[in-house]
Amino acid sequence: MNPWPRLAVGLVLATLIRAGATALAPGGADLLDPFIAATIWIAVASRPLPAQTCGLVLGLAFDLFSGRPFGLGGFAGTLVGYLVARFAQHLLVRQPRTLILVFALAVAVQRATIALLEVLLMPDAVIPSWQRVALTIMATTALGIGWVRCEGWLTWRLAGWRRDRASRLRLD
Amino acid sequence: VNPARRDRLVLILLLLGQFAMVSAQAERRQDALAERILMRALVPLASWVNEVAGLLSDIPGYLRTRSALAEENKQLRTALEQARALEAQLTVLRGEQARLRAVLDYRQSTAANVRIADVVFADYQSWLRTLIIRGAAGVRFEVGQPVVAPTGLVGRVVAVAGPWAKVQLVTDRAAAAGVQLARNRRQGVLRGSGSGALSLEYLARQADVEIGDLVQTAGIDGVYPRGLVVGVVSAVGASGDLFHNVEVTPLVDLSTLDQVLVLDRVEIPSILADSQTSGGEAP
Repeated sequence: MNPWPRLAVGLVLATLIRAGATALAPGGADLLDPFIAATIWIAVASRPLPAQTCGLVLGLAFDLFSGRPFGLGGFAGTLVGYLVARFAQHLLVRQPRTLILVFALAVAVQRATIALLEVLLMPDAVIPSWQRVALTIMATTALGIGWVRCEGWLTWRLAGWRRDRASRLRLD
Repeated sequence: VNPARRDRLVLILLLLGQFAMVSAQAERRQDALAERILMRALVPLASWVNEVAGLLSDIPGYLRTRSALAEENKQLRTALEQARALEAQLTVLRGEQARLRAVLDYRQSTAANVRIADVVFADYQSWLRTLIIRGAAGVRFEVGQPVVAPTGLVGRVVAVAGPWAKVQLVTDRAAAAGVQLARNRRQGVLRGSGSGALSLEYLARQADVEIGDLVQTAGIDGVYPRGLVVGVVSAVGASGDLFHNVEVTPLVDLSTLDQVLVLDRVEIPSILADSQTSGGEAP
């Protein structure tokens, strides 16, 4: 699939999820990162160049809504997009266990990158606790897996509808 | 160009650019140019997100408000129904007060002993010729007692059964009363016609009678005391005989009676009653 429509869909869905999470649980919305989930979802199915570009855009959108210094999320998103796309070029990442591993590692890399940049660039940086990071990784991984499952279900339904329509056309 | 090398080059450039942007932002604590540009591009989306978030966060409040309003509406409806019931009750009480005031005024204006009775049945099938009334506890009626309303004569008691009494209305075809014109004391006999109007009979042709003359009881029939208002003359015709042909309209609207006043019976000395019985038929 072309990555740019996926970028648009991912941006809209991630924004909606972020807004919904903020409205439902303002204190815990930061535990869920739909922008990095969207980045990984795009990157596992595309080449490194579009993947890192999508990661950049989604990371900046993450910065826009997270209140962190602008560019931290973009940096981490770019790196994660590139790494996941490179990883997906060499390995079969459609298996559920592999997908979970990819999502968890990618979120961990993103959080570590952001923490590292904050420590390097911000004198008053506050490093989140490892429990909070673990919760973020688990929640975002679950969201990403659900995202991929939904896409698979929709693709299957669309293929079925197309098959049904093609058979009807032949009968007519 | 090797795609892998190109991708790595782009990656490094992007990372360096962003690192420079973040570090510059961290040092000067100012908004980055890229941030301003992206803000311009994403502000519509951000505002839309805020609106969506605001809408989502407003939903519980909206539901709570709606629930509270529904509850308040229910309470107000109940209060309104109670107020309406109270208003209806007040209207009934106001009417009852007016009636009682009229009764009180009448009692104060007459020397006769007056008892109040409720109308429990009206004979609509025969043009309101009779009523059934019921007195208060302990009150017993007698045949022949005059029955009046604050505005005029109603009839007389013709049958009694315990607390109930049957009243023959003045409009009954068989009812009669000795009356006089209030203006000149010309006397006659008032009879019911059965159709709601009254007929004044035996009023001599030379008597001065005009439409609008007030007709009242004359106290000559041994049933009704003198001075009870009956009605007004509504038509005067020449019958060609010795008497006027006069139609009288009752002042009491007999179709709306719900309470009446029962007066004590006029006591006629026994010697006069005997002579009256032997001398002729009482009206």
